[in-house]
Amino acid sequence: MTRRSSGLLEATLTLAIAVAAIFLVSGNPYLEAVALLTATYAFISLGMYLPFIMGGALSMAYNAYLGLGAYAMALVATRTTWDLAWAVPIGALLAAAVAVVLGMATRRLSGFYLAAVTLLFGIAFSTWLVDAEALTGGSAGIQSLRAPSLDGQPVGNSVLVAITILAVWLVGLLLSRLRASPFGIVVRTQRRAAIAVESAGVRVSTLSLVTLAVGAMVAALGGSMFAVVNHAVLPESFVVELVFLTMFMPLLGGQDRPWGAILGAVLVVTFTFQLTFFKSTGSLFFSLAVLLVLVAAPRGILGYLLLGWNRLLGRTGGDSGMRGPR
Amino acid sequence: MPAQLLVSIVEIGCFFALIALSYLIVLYGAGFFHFALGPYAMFSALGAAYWLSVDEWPLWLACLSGAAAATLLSVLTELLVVRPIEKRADGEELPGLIAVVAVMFAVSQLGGWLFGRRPLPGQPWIDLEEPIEWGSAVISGQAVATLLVTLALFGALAAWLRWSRYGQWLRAVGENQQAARTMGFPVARIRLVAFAVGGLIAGVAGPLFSSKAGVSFESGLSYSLFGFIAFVIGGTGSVWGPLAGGLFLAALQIVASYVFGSPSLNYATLIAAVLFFAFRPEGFFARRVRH
Repeated sequence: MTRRSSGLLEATLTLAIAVAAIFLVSGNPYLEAVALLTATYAFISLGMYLPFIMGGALSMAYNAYLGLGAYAMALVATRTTWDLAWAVPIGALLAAAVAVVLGMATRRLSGFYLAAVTLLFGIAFSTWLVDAEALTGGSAGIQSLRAPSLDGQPVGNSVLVAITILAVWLVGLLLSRLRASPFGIVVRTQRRAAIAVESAGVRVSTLSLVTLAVGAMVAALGGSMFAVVNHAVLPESFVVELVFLTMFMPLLGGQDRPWGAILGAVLVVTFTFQLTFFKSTGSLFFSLAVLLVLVAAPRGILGYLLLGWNRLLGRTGGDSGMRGPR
Repeated sequence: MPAQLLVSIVEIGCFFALIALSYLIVLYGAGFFHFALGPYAMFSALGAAYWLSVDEWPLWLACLSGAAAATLLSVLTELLVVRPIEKRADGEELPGLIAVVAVMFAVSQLGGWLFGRRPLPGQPWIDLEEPIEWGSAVISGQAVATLLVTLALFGALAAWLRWSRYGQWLRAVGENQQAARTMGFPVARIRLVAFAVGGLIAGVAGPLFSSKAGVSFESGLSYSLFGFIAFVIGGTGSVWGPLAGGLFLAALQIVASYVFGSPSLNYATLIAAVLFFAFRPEGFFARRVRH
């Protein structure tokens, strides 16, 4: 199979799954809420994919980027008469700006130090959401966001959830393409060979700022959709603990492709909210599963599925490589 | 500034200092930032509080069991998670970091599952009939206990590192595992001792502090972070560095929340972390030897 046709197969197959998911949940408010939560997790996880899984930098302030997208939507919906679609780029740009400033402040940090400072930032952000009452509504949040309208007709939640699912698919596809592009290869290479990349004429610090900004924008998009479908925002939706769920989703689902992040999100929501057996123990079960995957099965679920598929077709090697760029 | 604030600074500072000290021990012995120490302290405190209130164990037994559980968790982390992953990581730092964050998350969830998800109060180790009055401040028995236990643990660790065989080996391994292995040190065993001692200190710190602030299964994250910041501020050059770092961070947090209101506690910690990491990453006490 050529590269072009395998790319087409990837796009069609994943689109088919996204459309199937839309048909599955559409019209059922409970399933729509579950799908929205899954999509929100997937957006954060996809946002972390570029800087974290590909770039190797564990920046953890993603609750803040999600929150910026959500509060941008809430403020546009309650304090302006603008079309709500404007909130999406506003939230994304705000999040990107914050990510760049935080990235510059932490540009000399890596590993544990970077994780610690970005976690502190995430905590400070959720404190600020409650603290800055005049702007954010404090602990009561912002309620009764107006629904978006098209030609004067309000757009219903089913349509919004369908748009959200399609947006997750599109972001996943774009990230998958980006991963295989020259840019993606440079991002993955600097993780282990920063000096080589630097000597090839790429400023590694600028590169990581770009990845952080893009990641923040993806998370902010998730926040905007989350707010518009719920018609409300509450500060407790944006606590830093969220990041502990989302950072492990690609590891569980499989890090070879962004789709692994989405698969991880589906699994987490299924285990923690859907199956009654796991309801009280879902997070514990998830965290133990993550540890098991980290220690014993580092490719993640999707990684092994792809490996099995390749074996089935009699292909060896191929792109089963976990870290090295092709 | 009211004298009562000073008492609080000492109490909270001692707790941060103990967590920072356990970071230091694991860093010395295994060259590893053990982020899960905060959740171990939480696990020990929550377990002790649960056994005290639900099973009505005596105080000493509950706290001792908590500390033992924290030690065991730390040893298991090294054996089952950190060791196999570092072996595969080939010198890369990220897999170990991801793994220890996963352990953090798992230990917090395990604590919530075993001991419940609501906050529990701790119990004082020294219960004075009449609290000591010191000027305008009131010193509780627990404040005295915290200070005494902290000083005793720091003294014991300083002596252990200086005079015991394992204490001396610890630093050799932390500095350069490859060289230590070549020279015939039992590296795997020394690393295990470091994880055990680190877990034990965190396991004592948790129940000691929980009588002041209470504890819930989600407390571990802030314990880990504040302990880590205290550890970085103190530096790795001396065993007493964590004590200085802990007291400094506690003073900063308490003065900030006294002057600007309680939300500024988190802002001040963030600013301190960014400034220290950027301008003085070696902390107050740097090692004098270059390497």
